[in-house]
Amino acid sequence: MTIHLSRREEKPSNASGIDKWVPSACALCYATCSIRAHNVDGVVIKIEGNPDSVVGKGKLCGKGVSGLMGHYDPNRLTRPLRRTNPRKGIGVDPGWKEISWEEALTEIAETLKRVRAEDPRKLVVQRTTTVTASRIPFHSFAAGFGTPNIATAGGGLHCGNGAHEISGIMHASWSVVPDFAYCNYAIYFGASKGHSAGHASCSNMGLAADARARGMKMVVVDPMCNFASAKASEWVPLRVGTDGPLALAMCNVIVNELGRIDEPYLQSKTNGPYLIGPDKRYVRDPGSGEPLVWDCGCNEARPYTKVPSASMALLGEYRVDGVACHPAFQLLKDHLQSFSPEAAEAITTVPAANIRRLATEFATEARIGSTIVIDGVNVPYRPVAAIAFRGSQGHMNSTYNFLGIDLLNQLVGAADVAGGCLGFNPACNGFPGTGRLKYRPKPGRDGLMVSGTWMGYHYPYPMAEPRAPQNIGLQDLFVMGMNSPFLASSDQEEVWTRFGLPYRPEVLLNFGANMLMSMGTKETVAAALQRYKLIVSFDLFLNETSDFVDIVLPDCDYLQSMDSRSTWPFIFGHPAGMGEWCWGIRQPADEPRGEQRRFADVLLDLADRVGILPDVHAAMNASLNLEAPYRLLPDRRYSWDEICDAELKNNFGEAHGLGWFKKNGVITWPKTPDEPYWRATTEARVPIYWEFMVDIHEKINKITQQCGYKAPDEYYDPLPLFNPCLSHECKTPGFDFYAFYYRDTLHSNSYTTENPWLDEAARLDPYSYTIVVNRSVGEARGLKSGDLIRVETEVGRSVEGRICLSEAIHPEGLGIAGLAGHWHAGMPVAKGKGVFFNELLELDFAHASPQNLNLDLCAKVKVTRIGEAP
Amino acid sequence: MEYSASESGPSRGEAEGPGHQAVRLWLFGGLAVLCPERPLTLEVPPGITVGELLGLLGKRLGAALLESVMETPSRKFSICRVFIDGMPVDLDDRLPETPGGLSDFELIVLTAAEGG
Ligand code: SF4
Repeated sequence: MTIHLSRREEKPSNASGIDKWVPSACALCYATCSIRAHNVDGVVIKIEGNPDSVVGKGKLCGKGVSGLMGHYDPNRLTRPLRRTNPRKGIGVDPGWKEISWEEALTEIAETLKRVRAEDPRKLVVQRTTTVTASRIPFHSFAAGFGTPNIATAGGGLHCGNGAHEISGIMHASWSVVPDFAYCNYAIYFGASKGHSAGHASCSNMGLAADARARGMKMVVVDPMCNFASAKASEWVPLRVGTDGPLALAMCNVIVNELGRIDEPYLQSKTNGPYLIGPDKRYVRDPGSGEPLVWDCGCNEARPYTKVPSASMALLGEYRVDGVACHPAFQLLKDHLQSFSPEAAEAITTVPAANIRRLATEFATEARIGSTIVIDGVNVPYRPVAAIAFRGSQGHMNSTYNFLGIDLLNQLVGAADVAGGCLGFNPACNGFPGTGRLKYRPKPGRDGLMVSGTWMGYHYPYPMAEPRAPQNIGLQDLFVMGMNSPFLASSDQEEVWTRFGLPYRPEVLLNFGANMLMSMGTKETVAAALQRYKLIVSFDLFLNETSDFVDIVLPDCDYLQSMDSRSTWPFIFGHPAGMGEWCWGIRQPADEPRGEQRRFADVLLDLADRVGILPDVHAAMNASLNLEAPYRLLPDRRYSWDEICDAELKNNFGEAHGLGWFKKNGVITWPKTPDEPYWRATTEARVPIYWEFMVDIHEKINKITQQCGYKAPDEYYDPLPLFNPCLSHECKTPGFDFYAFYYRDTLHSNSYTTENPWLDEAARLDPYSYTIVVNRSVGEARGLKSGDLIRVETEVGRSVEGRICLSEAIHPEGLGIAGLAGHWHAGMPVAKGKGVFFNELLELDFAHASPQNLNLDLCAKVKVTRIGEAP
Repeated sequence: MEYSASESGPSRGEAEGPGHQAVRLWLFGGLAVLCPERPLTLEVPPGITVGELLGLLGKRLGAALLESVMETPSRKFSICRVFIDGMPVDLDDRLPETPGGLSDFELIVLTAAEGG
């Protein structure tokens, strides 16, 4: 075993004090790149990438290198604040008064004690998605308190209900990427992996650049030609929100026109051979209950565990006990016929000939049947990958969009094999010194894959059983949903009453999320926030949401914080593919200023005051898998540093505690081919036919029949359909653009817009702060770049901004970089810059997917010029 | 095997008898609200399974407990974690026999996943 170290270097500096490089981790987006921060005489003067770590691979993005500007921003909060004005509203002065931590925590604890005694579910705990390391402290606090209500505001709501679910079910991971080292043909559907912010961002950028230089062809399907498309071999513009039908048409070409499928893969790694009856369910063996397959060897139906996969029929019609049934793959094949390239062209605007060409290229490049030797191990080789993320999944149809795209990988056997589409890091053999951190996908119910690890102990498959809602988001009823709009929807009371939520939330504990900007139109969110009796918020700055907060707690930022796992969970910030495992910590490179305190220590203090410290410790023991002698004792008071030390020793042995990590920064060890390319060596299957949807649908409807609600059939079919967004159905004259937003690579959510260096870069960029419309379409309407325009939805929501005419956008598209347009004085650099896209988004039941609650993130709009270019 | 609070008839562990062993039950989080006494000590038959013990707890503390931990009568929620003497266990695992000693049985329901 080789363990590489990244040492904390400390040397006497010139006269007056210290000169040290502190290994730590960025937290300006959830990529958590490893950094080295240079502190000279108590001032951090530089941040650079840590070359000893694969998390970032020694590189940082523009946000990372300019992190000092946010850190030393004079507008940072330094004292706890309490509002004196009971009236809450947008732009209404809260009348902030500085209070002591003692006063703040006493008031919060008294309220929390009362609420817990009444009903712990009345507490809602919410975090920004940006700081992944906040998950354990806040989730443990919530679990210890006894509330199921946790949320990630807009960062969660806008991102991932389909993407994470399907990456979990099909790849045992949170998200997917091409295996950059070996992939020859990658097709991106509304994704930017390796070209922008987000998961394993900097690591992927290097890997993607190397892959392109090696000759990997990259096709990007996107309404806008920006971060990924600009570096791609080919940009395929399409109508907003129609990725699913395009992918399904490609699948149709591969299956029904080319007939190029990976039969052994489909037989052995999917439920393609499982027989499906007329009720759309598996035909089961009456004795064992196992799904039956048709055994071509003995010409009879037998349980799938009893039949060699090579003998399993994928096609045909069979009779079992006199009832006609078909292998799931036969049903998929028939189903795909309805997605002809010509039909898809009408929906997507992508020419049918192009769809055929792309499908042919993908199937050809897949090299079905080939293998490759990596580190002396022969593994299946399919150098193609179809990946997707926010763009394609941010719609009512998110599950089916993403599933249609992933079927491309499944059909040619390019899932979690060399060169293919990889879930990042779902299999790990563990740290060699202790065997800890070992996890591997495994077969579960009906032989379908259960993740070995995911985001905590809530796995994507099997789906939980629908039940009467206990959670304000209703995810326990609509069990395919993770994030829910009902945290702040305009109709939340109506929804809660209708579906019988037995209580109402009273207290919101918020960590860094700016809900007012991140979810939808601001008046709707404001009304929801006004209903809370107490809102407490850990923040770095006052922002738009602060106008509704009762007590603001001044937080430490990432350069002042400690986390034993800077990336949560372990799979999250790692690049996929071969290379090294790497575990790094975040540690302070600078001291808190004023009365800033680290949120994790504050939560422990609060837990103690509320009387739930033993419960929080129990939640941490369970979440961190702590075993003796490192389990936290119920009644002992620990500092957060002590808990970090326990976790590190638990995972890496007594010699590798917090002291070791403070000095060395990261610990690394090599991956072996059976880790990134685990699929070939696991028995688990994945569902190309989502039989479990039939059951979920039936159970939801049984629960909701009393309130007169029936979940629509078209969202619960086991095979993917195209369900248009509401914007696709808008036919009102004059409303002829599909407005969408994209994540500007210069920014993470809305927080970094306060950074002056990033602001300067954004002002130099023609797109960051403008509204992008297709040049020929704009010019045909007499518009010029720089004109001031109003963008208005059918219900009268509107935003204004300067237009940028560009060839790099679909003629029907209108693109806005997400989460600019701040208006609060607490972030003066960000204030008044760019356009607040979310103002165009309705936040209600009608705009949420009835399948996974995904919010519809596009709107049909009309454009009016209201001012000339300067 | 089903572990339901509403089963009729005696279940394993319901009747006390010779050879029973004591278990210290630690209910955390929302479950602690259902049972303020912590730890709660119960006499159970030796070798009882975790599922049977949960059924017994349901009878003692009410249906709300089982509704919080059991997704179906035979399956607990994936976010419900059970530990015996600090080690994670599942419904079919049996309580270790600890002659003269006590086993610690911990139960907590964690929070579900959220995205981003
Ligand atoms: S990609 Fe994210 S974590 Fe990495 S340097 Fe940039 S902002 Fe920081």
